Amino acid sequence: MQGICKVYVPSPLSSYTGEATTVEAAGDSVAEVLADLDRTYPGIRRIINEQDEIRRHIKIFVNRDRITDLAVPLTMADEVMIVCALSGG
Amino acid sequence: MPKRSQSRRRRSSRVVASRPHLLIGTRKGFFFLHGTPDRRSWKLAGPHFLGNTVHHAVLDPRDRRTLLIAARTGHLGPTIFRTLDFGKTWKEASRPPAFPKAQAPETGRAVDHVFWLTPGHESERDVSYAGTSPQGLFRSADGGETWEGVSGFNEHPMRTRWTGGPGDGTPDGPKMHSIIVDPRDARHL
Repeated sequence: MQGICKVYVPSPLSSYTGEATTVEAAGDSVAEVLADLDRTYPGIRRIINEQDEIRRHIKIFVNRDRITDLAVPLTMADEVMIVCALSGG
Repeated sequence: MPKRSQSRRRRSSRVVASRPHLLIGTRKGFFFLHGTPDRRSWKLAGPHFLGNTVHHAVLDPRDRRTLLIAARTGHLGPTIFRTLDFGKTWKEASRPPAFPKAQAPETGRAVDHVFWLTPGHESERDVSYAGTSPQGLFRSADGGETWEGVSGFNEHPMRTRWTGGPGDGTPDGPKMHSIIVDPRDARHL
């Protein structure tokens, strides 16, 4: 049975989640959770490119650890936080 | 929708389409300048997609109603939006231009931004083409909702000789641009 994780959504992505900043998604890895998020909130997967790389100004944390590999396994107690770097000009 | 309402909307759309419009893409959003028929006064509308870089916007000359814009934010990567009512409502492509996922140990290309949009041939009303950075050619056959790579170009063995590599181009990356559809032949670009 797949775990359900809490996912923190940054404000630049909240237009995809109906302005919700905390949502739930199912999956046993970060990749699966992001895929489930995209099923519920189509388009939110824009944070990942077509080569499954996290975009440059996006960071993903599992609990307190930054991850770069989407295959990182998750359990139900884990929290995923998507963070947009402050950037621009 | 009631027929009378549909008819009113079409009439309203025709009136809007008959006026001059300037489409303005900037690094911080997209704007319209709507003109009066005599072009003496203009009204600014926008910004739409505040904070997005809009590389190109094209009003489809085949219906003067379908407008596609190529947008990118620093965070979220490239996408294409469509409006049929001059920006009152927008719909994002459900499958924006993207290269195929490479199988390890190969490394694949990723679209950084869509730089160019070209409506298709008069005989193919729902077809549009997109050019990307790095250089890729993409085609939509459903009015901009989904986009597929044109493998005849993107996978052609001569492609890198024709276009150069990832280091060739502007500081913002090399781009596919100036896509022209032959009015005599829909298959000839």
